[in-house]
Amino acid sequence: MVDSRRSTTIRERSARTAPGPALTIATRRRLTAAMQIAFMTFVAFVLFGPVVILAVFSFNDSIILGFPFKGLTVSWYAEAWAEPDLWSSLAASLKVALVVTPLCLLLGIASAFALTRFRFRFRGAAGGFIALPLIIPWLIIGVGGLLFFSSTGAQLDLVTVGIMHVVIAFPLVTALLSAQLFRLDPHLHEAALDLGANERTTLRLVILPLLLPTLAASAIFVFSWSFNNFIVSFFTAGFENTFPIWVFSTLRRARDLPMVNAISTLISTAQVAFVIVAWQLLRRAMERRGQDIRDIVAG
Amino acid sequence: MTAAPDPRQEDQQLALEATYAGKRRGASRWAPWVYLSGPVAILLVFFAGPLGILAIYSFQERSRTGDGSWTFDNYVAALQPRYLETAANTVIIALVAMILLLAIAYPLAYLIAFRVGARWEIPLLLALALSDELNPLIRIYAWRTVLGRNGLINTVLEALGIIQAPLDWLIFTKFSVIVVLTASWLPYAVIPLYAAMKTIDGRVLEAARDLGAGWWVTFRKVVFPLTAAGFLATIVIVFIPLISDFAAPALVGGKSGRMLASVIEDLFLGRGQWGVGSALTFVLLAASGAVVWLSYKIADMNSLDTSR
Repeated sequence: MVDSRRSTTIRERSARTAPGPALTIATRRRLTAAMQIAFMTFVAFVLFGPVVILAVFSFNDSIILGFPFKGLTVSWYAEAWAEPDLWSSLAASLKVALVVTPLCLLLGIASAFALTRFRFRFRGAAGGFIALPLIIPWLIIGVGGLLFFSSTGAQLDLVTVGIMHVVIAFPLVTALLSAQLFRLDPHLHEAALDLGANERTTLRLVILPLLLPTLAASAIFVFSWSFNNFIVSFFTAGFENTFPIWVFSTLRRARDLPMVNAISTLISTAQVAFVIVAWQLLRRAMERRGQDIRDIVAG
Repeated sequence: MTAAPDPRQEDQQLALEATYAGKRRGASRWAPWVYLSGPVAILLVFFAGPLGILAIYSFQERSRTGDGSWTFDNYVAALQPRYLETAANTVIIALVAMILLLAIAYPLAYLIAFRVGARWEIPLLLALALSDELNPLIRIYAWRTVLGRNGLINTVLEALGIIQAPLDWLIFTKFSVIVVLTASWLPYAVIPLYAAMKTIDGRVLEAARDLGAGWWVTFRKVVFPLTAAGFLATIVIVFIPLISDFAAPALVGGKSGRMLASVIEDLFLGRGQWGVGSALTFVLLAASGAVVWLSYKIADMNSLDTSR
């Protein structure tokens, strides 16, 4: 009756005294575990199943996306490799993301620092205003950008895309950093001030180093938001192609679909590798500081 | 596990207040605005600016050039039956997807926060974040391998002899849009719910069980009231992108899965009717705003009341 493999918890003790045969409790526990595993498997499939199946089909020697499997080929990869628009669009997306990410970090640091470390009139209003782009649909921001730039006579290109990416992404950095700044021990800040540092020196030498893991996480998020963004870029890119725009327009041509399967697989693999390496580095950095990576998410 | 009100945290809060209140060396009245000027200026020009112009266009007669007289015609045009039909479709799809999202995300967040243990907690969160790092268009398109005519579901069902011909409602319908939207936004629903769950003291749950509460009572009287705020935040976080989604209906929606975003895109980029497009955009904004407001109202009345 007593299952000694597990440490006895209060819950188990109360379960044993509860009415009903012991077998039922063990069976029920096993059933619960099985249901949990089934649920987790279902979620894993929903999140990754389609992309994995797509990767398998990228080697399928058929123009139709579906079963049965006709035979192995790498010809779709060769075709993708030879596609000039693909490479220029990838380069464009990388360029935009690489410029947008540091800009968003700077704006995020400045705004989060001001909002959490000072008390001033209109603090709530300023915070609310900065958070606003996070709750306005990207479609509307993209359409607004299109009207705004074309009515000011600006040419739509990667610069306008970058500007709009900054607008949608830096408030995320502000939110992540503010949450972390609230947790930070204010005594550290005070100590720095007492020791004669001014606000800017305190920010540079005390607060930023403590925020490094959150900054790294923010950088990962912003980079992927910018690199993956479709709808805002779609409206503000003019005749330029970013990678998501290239994917979207290529998906409309049926004969090019197999090539998209191949390139999707390559890009997804690269993204997975990048994210895993980045998070591993981040986790190690946080462990060294005795911080918990979960705090970034839960903050 | 997060402990209940931490005296050290309270102490910190007081110290923080003191830092605020005390006149500090080098901190002038304008110091925060030195830091805020850049971010606020950028948002004023490139965020408020575009929204303002959108508003102006929606009330202008000859909107392409922007020199027409003021009018409500665009809103009248935006509220004509065929757009309203699409709007109703959009709301239905977004609501069903949101209910599905919450139904999956809530237990998932609970399992990650309390059941899977420290060893699996971080890898699972990472997996969620990772799925969001993948290109959303690719994730949407990849569902054709599962739902398509020759996709996984049809192939398996035919092989088992359950169906003779491929099911044609699996793809390019409302159904496929709902499935794909649910899958796409799952990480955004789980993370805030997980954050809300993490603030619950695990001992509270044990106390509920020791006092004889079953899972339903524990859920209704303990877990849900304690996560009600996070639940609402999740509704706001996912409903706004759901109702304005463009990529999913465009890639797997077909005719019956058409949503407002496609109409807006067509008005702007296809037909050049910027005035009507702007008006419809504000209708969409109002619809998402209404749901956000409604969820706050409902929350005010019900969820936070644990006495019943």
